[in-house]
Amino acid sequence: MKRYRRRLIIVATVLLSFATSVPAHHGNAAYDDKNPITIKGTVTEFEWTNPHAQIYLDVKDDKDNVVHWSVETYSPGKLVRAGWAKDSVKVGDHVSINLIPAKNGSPVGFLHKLVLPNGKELGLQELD
Amino acid sequence: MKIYLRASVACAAAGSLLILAFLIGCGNHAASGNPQAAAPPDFNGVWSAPFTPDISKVLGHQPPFTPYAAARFAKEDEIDDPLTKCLPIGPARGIQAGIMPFQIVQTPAVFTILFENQRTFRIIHTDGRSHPKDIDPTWFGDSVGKWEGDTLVVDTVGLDDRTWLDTAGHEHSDQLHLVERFQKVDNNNMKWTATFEDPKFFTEPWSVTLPIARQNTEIMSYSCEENEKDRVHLRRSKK
Repeated sequence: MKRYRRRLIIVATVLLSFATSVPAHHGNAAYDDKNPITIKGTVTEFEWTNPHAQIYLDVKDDKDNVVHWSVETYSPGKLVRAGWAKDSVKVGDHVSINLIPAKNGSPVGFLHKLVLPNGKELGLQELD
Repeated sequence: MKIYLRASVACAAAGSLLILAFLIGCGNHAASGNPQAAAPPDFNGVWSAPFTPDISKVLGHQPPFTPYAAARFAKEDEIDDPLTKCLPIGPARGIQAGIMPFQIVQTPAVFTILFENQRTFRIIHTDGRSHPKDIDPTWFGDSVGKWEGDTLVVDTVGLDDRTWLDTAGHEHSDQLHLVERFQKVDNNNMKWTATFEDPKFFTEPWSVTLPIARQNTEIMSYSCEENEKDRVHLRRSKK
């Protein structure tokens, strides 16, 4: 039985390595998952809603112009399993977000990892 | 005294025969496969399979497409995914690419699968009934299950052809016949094997097997339409 369980774990690991697309209800149709970027800015709003929590932030570009970004991520249920809470992100927080950007070039993305002002990282990996 | 002794021996012999008859009876009862003799394993709890957006990766190759299915798949685009339109996920995809976990609630008469995804559910009848004669296709079809030892074998027909089998765009028709085997491995693990038979889409039946693990969590809230904002950003990747 132990050997069988180990085999199952190996199969699970191999299968997880296939899971490259964003597990969202719309697959990868919106985002360029091959070219993730990191943006830094000040949070203007955090929506703890389905189907995706949304983070809005003001980001300064190369010419000091403020660009308003909209970043979506998992559902609150999935985020809770990954260590998030409804008050994890606050308006005014200066955060860094690694994301995959929209294919259409608009300031929209799907979050992979967020770094809070205190250095705490929040990702999408579910915690045990 | 002699009479008393004889009576005692006779009683002992009769008692032994009774015990023997009881033991033989028990043996026959177990060997007859009476469903009441061995209770089916307990699958109650929250479970999840590894997120598997492209079922052909598990198979090692594309399913045995009919020419019709191959032509459709070549043009399929993730933007047309029924989940993008917030339609129900369907029975097999809900398990192998449900994005979120599911809860099994098991009684002698029904085996119920409650998906966190869209808070949809499957009811698998385990009371010995057969499929109805005339079935109007539905999102999760008509499912009946029977126990084979530690395995629940689920037979599903009457499926709406608008569901996909995975995120990669593998489709099926309303003639899909889905047979699933839920096999308990140990308290925290099961093995799920799904066999897809569909004369319109596949030249022969094909199967995939995935491990499913118990999750230390609960089914949580989900709604596809509550604050949907990303549909406008979707872009077609195939022409």
